[in-house]
Amino acid sequence: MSELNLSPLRRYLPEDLMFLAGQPAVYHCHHFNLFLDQTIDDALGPELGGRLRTRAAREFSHHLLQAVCAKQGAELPPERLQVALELFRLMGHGRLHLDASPSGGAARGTHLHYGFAWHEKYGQKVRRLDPADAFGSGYAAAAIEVAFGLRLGAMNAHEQSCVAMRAPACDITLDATQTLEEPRPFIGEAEAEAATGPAENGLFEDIIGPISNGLKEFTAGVAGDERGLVQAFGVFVTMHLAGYYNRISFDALEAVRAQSPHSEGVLADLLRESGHVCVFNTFGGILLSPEWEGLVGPLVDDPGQILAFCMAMGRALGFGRWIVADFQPERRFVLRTPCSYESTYYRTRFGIAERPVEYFLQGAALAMAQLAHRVHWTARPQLTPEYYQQLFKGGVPWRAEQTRAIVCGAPVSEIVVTRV
Amino acid sequence: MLATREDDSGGCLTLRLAHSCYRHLIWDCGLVNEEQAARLLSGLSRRYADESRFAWVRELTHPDGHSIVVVPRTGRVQIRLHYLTPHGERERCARQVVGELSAALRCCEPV
Repeated sequence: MSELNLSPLRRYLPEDLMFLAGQPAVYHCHHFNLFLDQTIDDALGPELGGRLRTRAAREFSHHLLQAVCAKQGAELPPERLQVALELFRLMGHGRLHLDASPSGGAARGTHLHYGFAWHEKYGQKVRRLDPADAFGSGYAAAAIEVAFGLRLGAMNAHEQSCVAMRAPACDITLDATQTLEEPRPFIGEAEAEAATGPAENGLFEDIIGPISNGLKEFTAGVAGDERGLVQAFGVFVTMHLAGYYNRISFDALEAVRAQSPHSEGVLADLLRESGHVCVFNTFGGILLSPEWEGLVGPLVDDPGQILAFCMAMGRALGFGRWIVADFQPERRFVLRTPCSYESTYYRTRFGIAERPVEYFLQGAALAMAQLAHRVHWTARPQLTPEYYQQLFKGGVPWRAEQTRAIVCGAPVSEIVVTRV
Repeated sequence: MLATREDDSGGCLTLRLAHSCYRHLIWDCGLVNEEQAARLLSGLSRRYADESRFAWVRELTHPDGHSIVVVPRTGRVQIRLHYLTPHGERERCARQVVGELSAALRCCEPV
């Protein structure tokens, strides 16, 4: 069995969707991860929300682990468990210790990304009442399923104690179950390619392409440290499964639509806000980093350049081949892409939509316009929660409208951001 | 919005809390020029391990686990303290490291 390394398992389509051993994957930071999980729990309540998040984690981790174990030649249960634990650490999700058989058992997590990051961000101010590591729990269940050749959904997981609740470690129980979930359509590279339009070039391509390639080269070497955490760009970064984000978002929307349709718009707005959170923290953190300065040079306060940089970052993070289709300073910014992780998932699982559903993309485009025009980058601002509030609450001077959508049958998705 | 501390306690190099979510682990030093950046890298090479993956951003690791990141093209220098550094010790530790950096520059030129 060969040593595990993320880089050879990672592949980008020419349209810049990223895959890890054939599973759609992206990089997201702890701010985004915590915000999205909280959004789901706010919509469904912590019990239902936690269950959905655990199942989503189990589903996509199961597919990932099957593929990675096959590639690594891990055939025996101990080998497969070793692969699972090391992969979890390398992806920046923390350290898991498993003591389980096909009938169940326990997992213990240390420095699990969600619980640890929640404690770091909010622990001194807020007392959390529910565990935070549904992703780690679902992953642990999938690891046992794959190790022992069980079907997807054969193992349930419940986090009993969590560092986010001020416990010394995260303890997860694993129980075998006979109640399997209905199989759902698989989403891999072929499905993504089927839902991808033609790649185009936009403005600033001479800037975007080389930077995107440099960032991809840099992130190829990014992996969890001995704690299983990735400290980079001022945030805690994860390589994460896009299917997890998509399933929790779209299933939550479906549940809210069924139970309280008047609240669906609120949830959609929060999913859009996840795009603000990502762009402010991750993109902002990358721009302020020495790594960026070394790769690109000192920042300038030029909105066109900042938007070009955002396109490069979006591509390198695996979000798709974002282009600047149009730009008029202080007036208008048009982002276009032949694919997105949201549209790939939606088209594969649900088909054609009546209206655009790429909420993250919509929010990210608006946030990029705001960051490009309103942040004084040369002053190297601290990206604090207060600064986020200042930029994004109480009257953002931009409006984002999705004018074309792959999920509605268009060849590309397009967000037009205009000055209000 | 701006950094909370700026100080010249290191002698040659200034010290400023950098943007991060790691509670006083990341510190920016004042800029050095290209010649000083080369001298700094050379001066640190005996005690620090060079773990650079790219020529455009050099990363050196202190025996205690702290990292020094140097951007040769701009002279930016950043100290990344090891995460096990106790919270109450982080600023003092950053001052100590910047002192070592200044010594490596031989403290002979103003920055």
